[in-house]
Amino acid sequence: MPRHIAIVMDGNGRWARQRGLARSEGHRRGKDSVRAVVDTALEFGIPYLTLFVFSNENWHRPDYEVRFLMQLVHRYLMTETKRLMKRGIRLVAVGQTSRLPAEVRRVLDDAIAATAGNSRMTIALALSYGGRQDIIRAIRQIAQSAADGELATDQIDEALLKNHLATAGLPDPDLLIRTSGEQRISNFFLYELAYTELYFTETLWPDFREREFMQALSAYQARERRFGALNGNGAGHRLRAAN
Amino acid sequence: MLRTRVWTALAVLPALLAIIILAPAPLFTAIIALLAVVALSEIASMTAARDAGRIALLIIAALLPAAAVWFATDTSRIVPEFTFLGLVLMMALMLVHGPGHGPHGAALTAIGGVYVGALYPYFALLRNGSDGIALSILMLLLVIATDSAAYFVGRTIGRLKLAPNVSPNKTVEGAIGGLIGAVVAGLVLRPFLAPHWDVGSGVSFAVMISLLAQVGDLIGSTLKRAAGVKDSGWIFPGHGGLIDRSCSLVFAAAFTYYYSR
Repeated sequence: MPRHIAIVMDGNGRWARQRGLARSEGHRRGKDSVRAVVDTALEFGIPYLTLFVFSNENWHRPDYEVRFLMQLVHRYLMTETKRLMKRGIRLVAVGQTSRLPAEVRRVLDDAIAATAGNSRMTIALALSYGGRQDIIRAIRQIAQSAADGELATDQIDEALLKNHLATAGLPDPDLLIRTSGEQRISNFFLYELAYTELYFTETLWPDFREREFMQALSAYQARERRFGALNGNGAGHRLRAAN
Repeated sequence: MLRTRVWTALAVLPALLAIIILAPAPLFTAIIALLAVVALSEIASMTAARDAGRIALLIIAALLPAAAVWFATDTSRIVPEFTFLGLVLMMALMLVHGPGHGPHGAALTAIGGVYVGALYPYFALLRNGSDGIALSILMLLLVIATDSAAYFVGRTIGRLKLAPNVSPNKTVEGAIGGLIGAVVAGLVLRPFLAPHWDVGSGVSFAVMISLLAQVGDLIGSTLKRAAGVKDSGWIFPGHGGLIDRSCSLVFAAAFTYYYSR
């Protein structure tokens, strides 16, 4: 089983358009998919799940759409905190949350604080997240420490950089799922995806439920993960389907 | 009367199934929008809304809940729920105090507008959603099973009047027959139309649909009774108008939409 799954939830708008429904209906159904996937991940005991909710670039969408998405995040946090508590799920956020509207930030902070003691599973919401921007931010911090003389340049290593990224404290994803046929990273995790298995599906996010999630898991289990080493060298491990 | 009913049903049902199965999603949405306009025009003529002010009231009363259901951020479940509760309350008042004591005039026009606007969008939301075609057909067949079983059981052994002040021909025996008919139909149809449900959720779904179909039917009668008309219109020979035919489906459709998510 993967320890950390990251998901780019694409296709809500397209799903709605294809079905002659309002975009909002696509997002509402998408929220149901989040619930289904979270519950399935819990069943399989997957400890980390990152959901790519809103990217840095999404701020460029039309005003009404941004406003709608922010409302949706707001509603989600308001209504889901109780569910998260009941399931023992800890919520964290990655991204420039300072750019979020004050209302959203407040409920986000509340939800993070309320669920901080939970340990069954961690859900990271990527909000206003951009992979490059995050790396740049981390480098600035490190450079500042170096300039202040707190740090020698040869102390800069993978662990140090990782600790300055927004994803500090989260293991690197083992599996990235992107729905709706897009086969790009789109400035999502860049540093963190170095050895991540990528899984792309044509299924649109509102249709991505338990069954599709399990298909992604079994595709992952059928893959050979070597982390750059040769198979059978001891360094790599081979994963087989559990059953 | 029965013969006309059966013939109309035999003509309308295949057409309805064909539309549900074959229509491209945007076309289906357009058809539902068109039917909503027909339903609103029936409300207008039932409640004698002729002047521009009353027509405007009707349109606004319908558009507000319709927009909430169609565009709102969250599931807006409270819109159909409050519509349901409000109409049940109205029916209860008329059951107790007699048919003359319902709302009338502009109030009834507005109630009719909310009724259509809050509930018709669910036909499109349900059918165009995931598994929507199978679930729409399942819901439709359960409602038909309810109606038919209630009709025949009520006619053969029905004695106890169910709601004399609202719908004089309905009997308690018929209602129970309708419930049993829906459960039987649900047991038969579930493996084909909702194969991923277990038997228990299939049965509880059939029970809910049957109850909502029958209460919906009574609410339809309540609206007509309050307006003082017998049929809402004449689109379907022997079946009356669109409101007459859709009243047992509207709450069932909204329920199915939420049940399936």
